Amino acid sequence: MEAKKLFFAVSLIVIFLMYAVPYLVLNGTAGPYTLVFWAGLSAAYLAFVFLLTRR
Amino acid sequence: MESLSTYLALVIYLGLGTVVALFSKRFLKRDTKDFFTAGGRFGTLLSSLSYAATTYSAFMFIGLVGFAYSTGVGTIGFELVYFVGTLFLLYYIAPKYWALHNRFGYISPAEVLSERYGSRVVGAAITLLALVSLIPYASSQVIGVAIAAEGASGGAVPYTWAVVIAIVVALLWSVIAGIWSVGWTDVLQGLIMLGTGILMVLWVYVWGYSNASFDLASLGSLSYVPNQFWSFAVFLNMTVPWFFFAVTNPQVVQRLFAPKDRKALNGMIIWFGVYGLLFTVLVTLLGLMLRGMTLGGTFPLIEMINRDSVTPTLLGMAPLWLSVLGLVAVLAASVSTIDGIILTLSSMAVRDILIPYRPSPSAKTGLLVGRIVIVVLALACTLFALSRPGFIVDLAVLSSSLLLPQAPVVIGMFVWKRGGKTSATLAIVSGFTVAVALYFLKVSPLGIPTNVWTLVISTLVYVGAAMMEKAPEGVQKFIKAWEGT
Repeated sequence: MEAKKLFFAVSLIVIFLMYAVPYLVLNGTAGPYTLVFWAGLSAAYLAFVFLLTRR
Repeated sequence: MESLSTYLALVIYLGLGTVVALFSKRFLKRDTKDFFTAGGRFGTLLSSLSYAATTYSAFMFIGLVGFAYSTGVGTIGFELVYFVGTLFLLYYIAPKYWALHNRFGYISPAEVLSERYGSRVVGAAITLLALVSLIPYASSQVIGVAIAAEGASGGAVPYTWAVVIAIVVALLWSVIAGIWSVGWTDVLQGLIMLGTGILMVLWVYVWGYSNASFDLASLGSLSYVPNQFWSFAVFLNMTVPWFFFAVTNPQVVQRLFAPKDRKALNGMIIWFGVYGLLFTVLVTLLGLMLRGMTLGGTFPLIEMINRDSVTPTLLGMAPLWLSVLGLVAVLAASVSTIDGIILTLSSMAVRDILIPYRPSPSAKTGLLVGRIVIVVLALACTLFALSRPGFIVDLAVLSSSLLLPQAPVVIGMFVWKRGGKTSATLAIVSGFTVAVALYFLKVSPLGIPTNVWTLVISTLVYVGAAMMEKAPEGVQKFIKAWEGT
């Protein structure tokens, strides 16, 4: 898949997950899970952008 | 904190920053383009730290810490939606803006839109929108410094004095060498902000959790969403304008002109990302840890209505060295944002209002008008800040809400060949009208968040009008400029 299309598809999924997982999946689960999810997904997305800019 | 130490620390910071600003003057070529965009000569270090320091402000050190303390973990989600949105938009749009600057020498972000949509009216409308919308945001930076100084010094540094100091420093560092002095002082300030953020979190952990571990679960509903504050509607409403911040806030768009080559531009995106993620996690963690200490009885309870005083309270309780460093970091965060905003707005006033209506002014006239606008904006921010208008986060989101109608116009420019001056202007005017009306009426029709309404209306107006409007000649030259980026 062309890099830009791959980036667009992955980005849409990440943006969707940023909203959906904390509100629909973790929804009201006490503990570090929501914070870790948001920080972890953001870090993974940054790594993904890094890899694409290196191509 | 002893007032003498506070003033001494401020003098050292101001002295060091001014030396850096004067040092940067050697890079300045005496023309408008170089003054505002560095003529595309910034390397990776300057580009990335300048972008980060311009973006991250007192909003983070004062607003976000207090927001996390009061509303919980939703705060980090709110800020990280901005982070992901910015990376997403920068990856697509930064190379295109950079290529346009490189090819045609644009200086102001609105100038690009005027060219693409074939009318100076578009650039003037965007400039007026930015002038109105960014005053609350720039003022919130000054307010952050003032309440931090007041709280940390126990009133020894009065609110009014702190407002004046922040504005004077921002003014001075803007006019010395334009983007060069702003950029180099941003490097200094960016390092101070991040270093202090790390030290504050470490100190709070050692001080507040020496006998217990920090357990987010102990915060109960503050450790998850949805909770009493972060309903999905509130989260969506606050994140929508934040998501588009990178394309609607001209002070960060103009930074995309500065990198010297594609390698520096890519480096800017990645290092800004590393900085931003670390800084966001640090400041929100700080707020959550302080809330945990309140539950443990080691930090006073601060009510939601006083949430901007969480960091100042911490600075008042911290040892002298950390109080002083914290205050300097808040000042650095604020100044690095204010000077960026007033520099960009002054360039827009020159390029999008002066030049189209008085063609071919001399370079000297252009710089003079730019400097006058800088001073007028600084005075406007001072007056706004002295009126203590509201919470820092609320002011920041208000600014981005008012700027939001630009989003379809900017994104449309890069992804669509249709659209001209009518569609662009109508989108901005209609979106701005909706944003202002819903903000003052305090209503959300059909239960849909106000910022979603603003985005949807401006997008529909833009697309609808563009379908009926012939695109101006010259669209192809734009597309050719960024082909292959």
